[in-house]
Amino acid sequence: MLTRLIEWAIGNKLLVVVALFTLITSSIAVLPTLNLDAFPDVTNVQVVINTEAPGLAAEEVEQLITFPIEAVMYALPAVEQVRSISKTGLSGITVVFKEGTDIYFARQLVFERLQAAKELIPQGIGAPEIGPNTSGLGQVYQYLLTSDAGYDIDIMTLRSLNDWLVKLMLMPIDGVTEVLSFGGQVKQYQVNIEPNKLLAYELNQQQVITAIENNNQNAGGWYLNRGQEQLVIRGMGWLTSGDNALAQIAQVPIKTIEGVVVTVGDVATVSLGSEIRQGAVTMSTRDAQGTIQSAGEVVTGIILKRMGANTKTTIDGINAREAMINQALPKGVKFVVLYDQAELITKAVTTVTDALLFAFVLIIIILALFLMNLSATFLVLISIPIAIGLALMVMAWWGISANLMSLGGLAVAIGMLVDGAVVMVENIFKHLAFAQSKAKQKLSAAEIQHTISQAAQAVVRPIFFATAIILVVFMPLFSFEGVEAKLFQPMAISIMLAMLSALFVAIIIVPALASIVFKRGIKAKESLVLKPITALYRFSLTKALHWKKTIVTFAVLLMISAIALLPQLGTEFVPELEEGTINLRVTLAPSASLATALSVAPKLEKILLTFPEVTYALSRIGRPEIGGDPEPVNNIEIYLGLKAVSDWQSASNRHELQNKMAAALEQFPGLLFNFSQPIATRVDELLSGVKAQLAIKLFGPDLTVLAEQGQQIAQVVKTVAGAQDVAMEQISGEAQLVIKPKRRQLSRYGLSVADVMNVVSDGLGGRAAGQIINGNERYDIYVRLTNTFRQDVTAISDLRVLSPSGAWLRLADIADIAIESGPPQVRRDDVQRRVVIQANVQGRDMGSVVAEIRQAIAQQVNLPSGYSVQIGGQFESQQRAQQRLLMIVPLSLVLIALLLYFAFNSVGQALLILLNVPLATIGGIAALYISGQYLSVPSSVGFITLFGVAVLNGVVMVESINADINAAVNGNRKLALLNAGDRAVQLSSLQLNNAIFTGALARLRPVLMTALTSLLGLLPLLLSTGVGAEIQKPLATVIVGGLVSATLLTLFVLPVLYPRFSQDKIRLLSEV
Amino acid sequence: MNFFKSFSLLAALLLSVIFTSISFAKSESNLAQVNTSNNHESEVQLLSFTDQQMQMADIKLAKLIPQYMDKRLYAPGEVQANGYTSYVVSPRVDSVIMRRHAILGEHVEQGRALVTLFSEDVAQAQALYRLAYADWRRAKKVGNSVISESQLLSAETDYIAAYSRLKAYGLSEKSIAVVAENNSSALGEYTLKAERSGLVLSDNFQQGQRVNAGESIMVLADEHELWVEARLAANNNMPLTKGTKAEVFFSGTTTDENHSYQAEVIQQGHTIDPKTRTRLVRLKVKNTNHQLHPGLFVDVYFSVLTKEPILVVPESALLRASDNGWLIYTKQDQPLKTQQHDQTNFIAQEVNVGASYRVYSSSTKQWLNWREVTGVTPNSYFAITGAFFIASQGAKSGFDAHNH
Repeated sequence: MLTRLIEWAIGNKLLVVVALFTLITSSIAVLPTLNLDAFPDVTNVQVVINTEAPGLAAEEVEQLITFPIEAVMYALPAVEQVRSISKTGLSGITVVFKEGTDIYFARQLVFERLQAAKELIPQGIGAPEIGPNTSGLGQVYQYLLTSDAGYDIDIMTLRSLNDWLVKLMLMPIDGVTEVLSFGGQVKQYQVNIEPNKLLAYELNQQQVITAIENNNQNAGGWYLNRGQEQLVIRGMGWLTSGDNALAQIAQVPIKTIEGVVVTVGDVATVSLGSEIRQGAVTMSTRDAQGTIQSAGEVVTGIILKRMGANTKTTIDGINAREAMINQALPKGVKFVVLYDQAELITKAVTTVTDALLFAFVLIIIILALFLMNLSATFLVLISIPIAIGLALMVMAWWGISANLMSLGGLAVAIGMLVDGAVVMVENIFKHLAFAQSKAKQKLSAAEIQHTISQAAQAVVRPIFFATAIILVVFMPLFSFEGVEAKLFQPMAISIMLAMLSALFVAIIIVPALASIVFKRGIKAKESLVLKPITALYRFSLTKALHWKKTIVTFAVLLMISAIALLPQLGTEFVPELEEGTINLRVTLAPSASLATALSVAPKLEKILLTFPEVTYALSRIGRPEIGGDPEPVNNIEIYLGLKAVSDWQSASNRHELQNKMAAALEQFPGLLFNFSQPIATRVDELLSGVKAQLAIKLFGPDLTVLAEQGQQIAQVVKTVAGAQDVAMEQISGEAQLVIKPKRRQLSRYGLSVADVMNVVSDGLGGRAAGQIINGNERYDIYVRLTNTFRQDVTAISDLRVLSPSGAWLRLADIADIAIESGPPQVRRDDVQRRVVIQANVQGRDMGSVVAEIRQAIAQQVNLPSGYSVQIGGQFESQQRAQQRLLMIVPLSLVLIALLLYFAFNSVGQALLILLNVPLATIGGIAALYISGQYLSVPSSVGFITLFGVAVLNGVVMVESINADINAAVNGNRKLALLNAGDRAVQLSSLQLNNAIFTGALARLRPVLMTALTSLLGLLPLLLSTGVGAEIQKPLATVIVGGLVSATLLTLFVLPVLYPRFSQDKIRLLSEV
Repeated sequence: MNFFKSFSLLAALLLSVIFTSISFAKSESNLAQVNTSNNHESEVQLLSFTDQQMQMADIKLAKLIPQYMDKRLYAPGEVQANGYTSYVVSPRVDSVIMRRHAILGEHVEQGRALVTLFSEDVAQAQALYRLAYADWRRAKKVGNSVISESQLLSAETDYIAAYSRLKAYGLSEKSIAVVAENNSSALGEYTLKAERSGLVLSDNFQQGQRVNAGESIMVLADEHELWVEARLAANNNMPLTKGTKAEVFFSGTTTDENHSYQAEVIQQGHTIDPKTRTRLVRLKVKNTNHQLHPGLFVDVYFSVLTKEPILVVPESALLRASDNGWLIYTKQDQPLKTQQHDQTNFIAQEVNVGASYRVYSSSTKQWLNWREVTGVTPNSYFAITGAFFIASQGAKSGFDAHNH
């Protein structure tokens, strides 16, 4: 079939050219729609449900909101996990769906169930909402609203501008799912009640709220006919805005006592104020003179991209709006870009495209040097752009994003893409040269076409098999799961697409184009490079064939040393991707207040800005409005703007800089510093897994018991040999003021618990009494006790509560008021409360440690009923990856062996070619060791790729020797037929050696060319220091190292071992 | 052949097994460091800070010196006119108001005419007085020689009765004299005069209005000194004796010095109000700038000094221990062997906490809570600010970095 395909291509060469142009045109047309991303999105399919429960503590949030919602979510199909976190004022539930579930279907399912869940939540506590449809890479853009000096614009005004102007202008952009305001103060009309006046006028807070609500209404009264017209009747009683509104609220009447009207102004002060804050943003920069300037609190906006939307298009849309936003903003206020993921995308794509271009140039040089013919070089080269173009076109059609990994796959494959074309062109070239020299005259067009067809048909099978081997090698990567799957499957897909395209080019386009390009024959020149190499190889191979045992022993010794090197290699899961920025997470004690964090942040910014590399430091304290990461106020995330690495003075790389920064920051005591990068941090938030190798999860209903038993388990685990860094997660430490009603007292005075709770929720916490609506703007009217009466425990204890009988009671008389330590958050997994005891394992096998921990817990910890232990953690995913690799690697080898068997029809020769695998491994391991890189998922993907590429060398070599033996056998057969008519012929040892020698020598050029193109194609990746290069580097290192050893050893070990492994093949050849 | 076959098979297998078994044995970079310390350690460990760290975290030291503290006790209150110095102007007989002579807020001197009223009863009494006066004068003139002793006595008694009646109606001697001496004077009109100097606090009447006997038409009071009636919780057992000082605030603020008044307890009730279940404590307050007015709701902060000097620390210097107790950080003078010169050592000292004291800081314009502590040696140095960061330094290895 393959040969017929070639004949057809050569016969319809013009049709092939037209088809080629059509494909190129369509790929150019489709390319702009390709979804560009920096990194592959490793986020799982998840739907987040957020519920705001103003003022409620973690335990109440969990009991009243989280639990009812969580419980109903498990009934959904394809749900993998439901986990939750309940914190003060916020419940966050994450429903994780099985991979492959359509996100909109998942959201629809959750939405439907949420209606049922809402019924279970007590009235007025909180309304659950589905979080924004975004992913780990979703925070694509961050901006800042600044006010110029000289304009009296405060952060409350800036926040209002952001909430009601900028956000509304950004929301319509395609791809934007949410814009989160962060920082500044949300404006409120505050009614601060003086409780003593309420008491004197015998009023309560509810009456004030009702009065305000009753005095802030609009109404519609349908129509009034007037002649032929109709008038729409409107009642307009809304409070106006600004200072007028303050005066209007103060005038609101509450009650009339003996003809005297008591107004809001009589019992409260009305003023503008800030909403209760859960977060803030501060910033420090360096001015033109290099002086560090603290900008204090600032207002920022975080733009979230919709999951699956085209990042580049979304950001382009935002940039297009920038001018319009600046125009709409009042004078003195500016919209300033702070973080733009497009820059990262550009950098990541540049890294790969640079590598591709560099590789392309190197390949041109190699081809030109070896082929010494421009037309032949052109024929080989066109396979690169065509294969890449076709692969990208298919990716665009399938909606696969072009990112560091998928484009990186193309960079990895670039050398392999030309292999098929190299073999094809080299053979055509060789056959044409041979035919020309044989005919000793110019060949006719028909003869040239025939020669090309013959040459192409001769190599089509090895080319096909070689490509098939590469495809087969990558196939098992699709059995990866989790993060590793999301990282490496796009790479495998792009490589496979490119290889398929390259195969198409090699067996259809190249022969067709060759018959056009070479229609007037060729001018063969001897390669200047190849000549000395051939001479050297001829000499070495002669020696090698004499010293067979030495060669084999040498190879085995190398193999043993490589295996001995293995334990010296460090291991890691996946190297960290460089985003070009630093994200410093600062953790304060869990009881820290926003004010404390706000006082710390500028000091830290100042320290960080002493590093000349840092251009700005932006601290995000706590959380933005709902929809963002639910961080507490003791969490500060400092984003650092960095100069280009080439301009750095203090350090040469990020890790070094981080270490220096960490040392400088140590001068601030009591803070925990963790360096990371923005996307990595965000992905962590979403995956939210336990980072330690072992996570011993203790499930149970009571937090106190969980804490006690957790401590006990931690002690037990510490005694297990090999368990290191054992620690229980923090489940207490939040300072709480607990107000517990004294029921006996309440009963005596005829009060209810609700009376006390109303003081807590409405008096201390405050309650909204409607909104002031002004165009798009909406501000709460917030009624609360004035600060003096709730500023400390004593003041709160002294608050008076009016009993139904008229008694004035202090809150402390009817309730116990005490400062206690409570859980800062309650985490749940599988609808149960849980506490995690983390541990790492060192110096022992993970399985035995887990078994021992299980046994120790069972024997030494007496868990009450209702409590259970489950052991999981990172080790699960590591074991999963390990098990997959244990399956994938042998499976790949078996598949290669099968293909080889089909190709050569000989078990021995299949095994002989498979010998390239250990030979290649030697170089791979050595390269990792020398470059100081770790054994990781990318390096193992590199090994898998290497097996495929290395085998190709063997295929070419063995195929060539087989051909020479065949020729020798045929020669013998002719002689034998002449002599005795015997069909079976035996080759003499000398003949065999000669056949091996000539066969090996004949394939030196293609072997060297394919090896060199593959190798040099990877060189740019190896040398690259651009964004994202770190993930490709181990992969490239393994392949380059492996190719060197495999090629060298193939050239010698394979011919040496050929006779041992090929006896059945030689017999077969001799008998046919 | 067999050797090579088995060798190659073995090599391939060996390679794959070795390679895969060591892959991902552990992940270094992605593993968060798991902490090993626990909270108990923070309470016994010695924490050292360099001068730079002290400055950065604003850690300042202070000496624990026993001192008298002012316990501030809050009670809601209301300003009242001083009942002992105020005067209610009211007619003693049903009357009609004819003219007003003083207006609200006016300061009047004693004897100043305030309001002129007309009363039928007064007119009748005046008429009777005029007759009685004339009778008595005639009887006195003719004497015992003309009329009997009993008639003379009767005339005098009638005169005195008529005079006393007019006095009882609130007429002054002068105006009574005018009635007797001037026959043409209008009867029934009389003028109420200021019985004491003071401010007209209310004049809730109109001319021509009929007022009943005893009905208040004007209140005079001395606003230089007012009363504040504070309502204390019934179960409050603070010793609020006569002379106990207090501070009075209005407008819901306890920070504005302009709205603060010094007051002093003058009386206190010993019964509980059956309705409000509160005990009344009366204070007198000097209304120096006339901003206080009767009826104003105020916040009263009684000030009670401790009986003996006590040790107090700011609330922010107190931190909770893991066993729910309280601790402060005291300076440890014993240097560590490896300690550098510029280091200060702190140790967590468990303390018992007592009453709370509110102290106004004029520098920060804030009220700060201080707490009595026991169980710590006087004169030792403690962290008066920045204790939060000292505690954090001790416990930071246990912080949950991924805290959500």
